[in-house]
Amino acid sequence: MATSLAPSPQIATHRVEREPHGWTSWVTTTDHKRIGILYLVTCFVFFMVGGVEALLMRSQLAVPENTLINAEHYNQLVTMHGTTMIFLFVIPVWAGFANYMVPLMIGARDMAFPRLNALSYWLFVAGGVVFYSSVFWNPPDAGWFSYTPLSNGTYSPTAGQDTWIYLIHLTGLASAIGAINIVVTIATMRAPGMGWGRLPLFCWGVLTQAIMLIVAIPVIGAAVTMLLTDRHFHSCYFDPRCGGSPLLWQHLFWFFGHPEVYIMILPGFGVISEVLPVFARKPIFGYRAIAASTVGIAFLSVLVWAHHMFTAPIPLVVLAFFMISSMAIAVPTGVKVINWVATLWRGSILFRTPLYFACGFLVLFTLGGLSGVMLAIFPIDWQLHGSYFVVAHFHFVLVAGAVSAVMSALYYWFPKMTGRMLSESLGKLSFWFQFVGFLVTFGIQHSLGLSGMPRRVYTYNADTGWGTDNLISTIGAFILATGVLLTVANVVRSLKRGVPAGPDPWKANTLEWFSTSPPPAHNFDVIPKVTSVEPMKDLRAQIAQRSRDDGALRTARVRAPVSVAGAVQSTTPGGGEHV
Amino acid sequence: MSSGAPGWGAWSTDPGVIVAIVFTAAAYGACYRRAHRRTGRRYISQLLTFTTGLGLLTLALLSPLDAIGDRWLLSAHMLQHVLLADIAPALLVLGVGPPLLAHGLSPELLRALSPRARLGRLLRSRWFAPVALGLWAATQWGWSIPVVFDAAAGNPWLHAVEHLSLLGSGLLLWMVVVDPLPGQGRRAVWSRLGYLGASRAAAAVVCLPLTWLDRTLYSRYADAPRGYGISGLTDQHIAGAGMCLIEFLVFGVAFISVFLDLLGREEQGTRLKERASESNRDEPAREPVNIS
Repeated sequence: MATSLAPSPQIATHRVEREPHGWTSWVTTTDHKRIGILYLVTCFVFFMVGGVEALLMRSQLAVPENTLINAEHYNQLVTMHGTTMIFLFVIPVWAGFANYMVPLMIGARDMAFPRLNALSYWLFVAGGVVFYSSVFWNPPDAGWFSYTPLSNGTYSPTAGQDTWIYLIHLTGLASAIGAINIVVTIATMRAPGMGWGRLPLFCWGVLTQAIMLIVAIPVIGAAVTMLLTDRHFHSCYFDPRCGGSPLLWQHLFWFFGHPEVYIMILPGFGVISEVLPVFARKPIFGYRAIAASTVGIAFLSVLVWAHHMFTAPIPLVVLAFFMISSMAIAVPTGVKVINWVATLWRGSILFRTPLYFACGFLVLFTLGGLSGVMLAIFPIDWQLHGSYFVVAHFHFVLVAGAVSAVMSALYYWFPKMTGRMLSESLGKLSFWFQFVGFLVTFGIQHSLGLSGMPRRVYTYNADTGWGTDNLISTIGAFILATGVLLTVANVVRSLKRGVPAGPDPWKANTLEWFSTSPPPAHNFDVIPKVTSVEPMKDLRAQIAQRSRDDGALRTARVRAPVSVAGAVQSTTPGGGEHV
Repeated sequence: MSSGAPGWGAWSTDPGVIVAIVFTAAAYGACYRRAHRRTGRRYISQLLTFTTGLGLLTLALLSPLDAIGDRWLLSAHMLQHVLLADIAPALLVLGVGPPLLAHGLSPELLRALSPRARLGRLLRSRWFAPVALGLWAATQWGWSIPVVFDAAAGNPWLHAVEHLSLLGSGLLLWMVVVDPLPGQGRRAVWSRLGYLGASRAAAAVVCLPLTWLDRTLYSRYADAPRGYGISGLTDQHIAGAGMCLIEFLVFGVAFISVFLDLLGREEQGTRLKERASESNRDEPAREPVNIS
């Protein structure tokens, strides 16, 4: 066979510099993978802190008339927990996974703007540090959505509320910069052959999330700036005494806040769409329908904000509008769920921990979605607003939804990031603790809400009859925490003693598995040409075909541990791009 | 319902409207038959779409909606406007989408619409889309000014002009969005979707204030007899929220359709390119290039 040597650009290196190492290399890094890991580690630290705050609250509520925590500290814990979990864990944790995985999945060597990427991470850290510095004097206590007038200078005179505002500014800026980086990276740096119709579904989730961030972040940025000027410069945006309106805050906050829910969950949908076909050993069912549902959800999510305000003085007709638009979101979400179930249907299921978490997600998120449809009906919301039913609903969506997806992503991509497998037995144990713990903690809270227990109360009387349910919920919280700790232990143990993973331990479908584990600084020696939604499957088929053609199949079997990646990179199929 | 308020039987028999609708149906029928004769294909989805559009046009102009909107309910009048300026034109233009016009128009009309003819040039000019969008927005905003709106509702001739301008600008806007003209050089999908999105933003300028304001804007309807038990303010809220909901849903459906279409076309295009490059590779190899 004639070999054609196409001219390719040569890189001349005049001086070889030692690769930087030590902690300074992490602080100064612009490598997307390292920034991704920094994000993930920082987020998990905040997750632990937020979790401890949740356990403290649950301990306080475990028995009636408890005096473990006083009202003021309870309010501070509510605020710190909510803010931490939303702004310092769930949103940035997806930035971590996206940073690490998106360039690898699309066959790029880094993000489009590596330095902006680093800036975005350090702004996020600065936000967290500023916010948590408030624990040394007066932490904010106006709740994670800081409704006015509670958050104004009269009712929250301490600087704690200002740290909350700065947190939103800094993390918002970080998110906006990161989002622009993601959009540009995906739009311009895809591997040859990777059209929009072949973009991995995780990347669709992240791309849509990034666009939503670009739309929503300026609104909350403006709102908190207005709050800041109300607090310190006596402007009157939210003060009715001089012509302002507290309702304006609610509108602005929820115009950001509801897209925010989908900002937190869309990348999770993407993870589920990646994990299910790999462990069902069959292609994703309805790729285009899932991608279209993702953008459909994003579109609808900006039309539903006032369903958080059904008890505010809003005309009935407007409530009906928001009820219909909120219920409409169930349509694209339902499309996704049906496609995921269809992906599993008649698959050769490989029961591994990432799939456990993905299936847990499917069950619990669907339940959370159903209670969401209930709450979207405004007469029902009038009965349940501000009760523990709402707490149960959004934890079903965010903990069962986002956190299950995060866990699934962690177990799925940990081998790629570290080159080591997480322990399956510990992983499955962790899953069952988390699954059961979650159901016990939050399932019972539906009952508490229906019994009339309001949210954000620091204690309750014994004669309300809520004691037993609360005790069960608290026990569940500790079971859930044990599950999370098992995962932490698993990670720590596997970093040292995990089984070496090899480049493609799951026989997965997307390009990140084409590189070594962990990938080198430049990600790929060769960027392969993408020919379908499942490029790794194609590459494996090409390798097998080529091996058969060369009569080298036996040799390949002898070298079994050597990955497809290694073999493919040495044979360069499909006209890939060389370094 | 109080006495005097129009009920289900209050259909109009306006001869001008009936003649126009029958004429449009006949013209479409001729076009459809010609296309079927030429290609042997049946364009069922387009036929259904066009018929539904014409049905909605009939509903907007001849049904009790017209009588109720004239004097009793602002929400009925706004719904009529949405049907005239948006839903019916969208369905009518989708009903003549490619390849129906190319096969169904008479040779004279095809010549007139060709890129070389004056009309064809005008419709394909780069100014056509922004002008169509501007006209649509201007009619939406202009006729919603309370004084103008009340005056139009009270004067049959001005009312007819209002409806004609809404329908006409709607047809122009959807010509841009659907781009049904035969021939090459269709506008890019994202640009067409951008025009549709911009039109929704223009509509939001009208529908959002109506939805949220806590005072009535249109004296004709605020002072109208409360024939259906709905207060003037609630009526205005229904008008705004209904308009917003329909306009946004239209955009959502169009967006998803275009997105799905785009993914399909892109995949198809990529496969074609790949096949072409494979067949090129199968050709006899050229001399290797020596890069040493």
